[in-house]
Amino acid sequence: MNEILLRKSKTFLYIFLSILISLIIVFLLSVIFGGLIKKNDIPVQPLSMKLFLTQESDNRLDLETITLKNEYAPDYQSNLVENYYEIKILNKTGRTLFTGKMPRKKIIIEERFSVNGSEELHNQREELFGKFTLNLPYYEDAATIVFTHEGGTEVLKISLDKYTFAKPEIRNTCGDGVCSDKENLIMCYKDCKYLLPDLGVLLK
Amino acid sequence: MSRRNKIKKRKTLSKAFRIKIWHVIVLLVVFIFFFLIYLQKVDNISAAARFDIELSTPRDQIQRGGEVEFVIDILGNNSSSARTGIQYDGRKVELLEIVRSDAGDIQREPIANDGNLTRLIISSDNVPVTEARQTFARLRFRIIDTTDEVDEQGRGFTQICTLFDPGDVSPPRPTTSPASPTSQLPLTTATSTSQQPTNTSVPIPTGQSRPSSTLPSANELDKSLSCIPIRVNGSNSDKLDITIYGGNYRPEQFDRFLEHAVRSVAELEKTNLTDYRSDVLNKMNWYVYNHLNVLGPNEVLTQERAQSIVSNPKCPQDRYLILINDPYVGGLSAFGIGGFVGTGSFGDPDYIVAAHEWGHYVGELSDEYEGGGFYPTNCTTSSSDRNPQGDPCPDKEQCRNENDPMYQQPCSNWNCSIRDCNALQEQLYEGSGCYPRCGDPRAYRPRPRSVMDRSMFFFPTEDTFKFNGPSLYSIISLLDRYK
Repeated sequence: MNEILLRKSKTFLYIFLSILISLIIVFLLSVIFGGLIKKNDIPVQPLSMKLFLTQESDNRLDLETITLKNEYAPDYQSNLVENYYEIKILNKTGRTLFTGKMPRKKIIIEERFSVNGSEELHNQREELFGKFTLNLPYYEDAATIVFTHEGGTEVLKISLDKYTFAKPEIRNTCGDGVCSDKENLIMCYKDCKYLLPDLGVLLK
Repeated sequence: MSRRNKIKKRKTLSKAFRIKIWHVIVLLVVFIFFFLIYLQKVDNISAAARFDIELSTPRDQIQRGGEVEFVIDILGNNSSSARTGIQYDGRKVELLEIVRSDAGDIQREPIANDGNLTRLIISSDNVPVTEARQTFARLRFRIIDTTDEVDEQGRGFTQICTLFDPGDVSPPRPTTSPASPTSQLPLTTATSTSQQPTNTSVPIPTGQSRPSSTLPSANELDKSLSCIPIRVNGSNSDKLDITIYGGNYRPEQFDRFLEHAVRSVAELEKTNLTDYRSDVLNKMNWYVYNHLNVLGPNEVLTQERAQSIVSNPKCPQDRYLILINDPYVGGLSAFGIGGFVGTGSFGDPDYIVAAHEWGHYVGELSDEYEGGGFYPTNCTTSSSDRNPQGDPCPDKEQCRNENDPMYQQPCSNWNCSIRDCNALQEQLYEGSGCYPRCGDPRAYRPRPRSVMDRSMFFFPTEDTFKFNGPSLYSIISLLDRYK
């Protein structure tokens, strides 16, 4: 009886120890490699620099103000080939932390289809952005934001040291449904389980 | 307890806790499991540096005798030294200068010149270690063109400069790369890693790289989350994230909204994009903004409110889609920004209006019915030699005679036998024809029917559920930088 009990407890102990040791090793690897190397080169999520901009008719941009918000920023990685602004975020030494592209004009298509004789409409237009807001990823080390026209002409340069940001408290995002860069399956299973491959489909 | 009993118990304990081989195996399996999860998260750190090359000179400034500049960017660099190979057509251009960049001084090492192709390796030992994209080098060329392939306006100026892996002994021939089908000067881009053979400017569609997966039903979604994942394929940093908002749904209609949201994603699964999962579908994440969770269970999210929320995103959002609870069939899209769809569009299982709008706000595609304008992503004004006349598949009417050879010869922009095409274009443009009418009566479309016309309402054919070749090329090129 005693021996059976001991065997069972032995099994549980080994499983527990295996998980514990693995967790410690993975945690240390995350801290050593993930944390130290990427510390200042990954955007803080969900935090974004919110720029209030005005687009002039000659495509120049003017900045009204800039704030920090608890919001997700787009990554602007679409491979646009024309009619775009290139956005660069640089650190104090001039090293590029981020580059992306955003459309330089709004191309809008509005359509209502006529089925069963219903009203039909098609309206296609191009317009400038005028006054608009833009969310950019926030980097701790960011010092300068540069917007260039696709031809390479600089249309706006923002030195961030001229602005003092009221940094909002970063909310705990575990449970918001998004497995952000600082979360993983161990730290926030609820959000990150969606990244696991669908075993049912794989087995099919 | 007697001494003998104590010794016996100690021996039993010692025997029981003796390490056996399966204990080690369990330990290893558990460790490997967690380590793989860890690797998934830090994949970016260990990835080899990648290079992109892109034409930076505006197309309208390119002409024979003029200069042209390419920018080579480096991505995901984890070492202070980096090198890549470049090759260019020495008959068409002469390398003038390699300009210092973020990476400091650039060393160059010529390695071959076979008459047509000139190859050299460029390197730097002073590259900042960063995940971010940075400029590695700028290359300035003069267009000399000894081949008579380039006219005064630069037409024919293709196959110029690509990257290759310096470790690769037989790099592939230069290719052009993503460009709009009607552009006179296709941009030349390519990607290179320091470890893999390259010239992977745009990956060739590999078909279904993953088993096709089924979408969850609205009932299976977790309504407790602020951002409800419908389809998540990876980290929001690597994917094109699309957030769906509900406009004008009453709180008790939340389940209906979720059904419409799932339907919007599922419509893409009805198209031929399922043949391009790794290049398109798996590069996107889809979320639903749970306004009941965020704003309060009794709050109605109006269309206007939803529109104001999209500029204050609480979920990852590279594009947005607002479903308007209104019986109209149709939508509104802003290229590269987002779109609206009226829920009347979900009234018939065969309608694919949400996929059509996706073609606008993600793929930046024109309508292929007469809409009053067109864009060169999927339409062209260059006809074929056959000069096709009349539309064999008129809008809202049945097709007649669409297989007439007059229409089956591709328009010149999609005809790789008479123009330079890269490998992806050669693959995707195959099967293109030249059918009058594409957004505008003056323009031509590549197939008689497609997702971007409105045949879904009238006389759908197999083509109705397909994005045509030039459309696919535009979509794949736009999403090229996503993983």
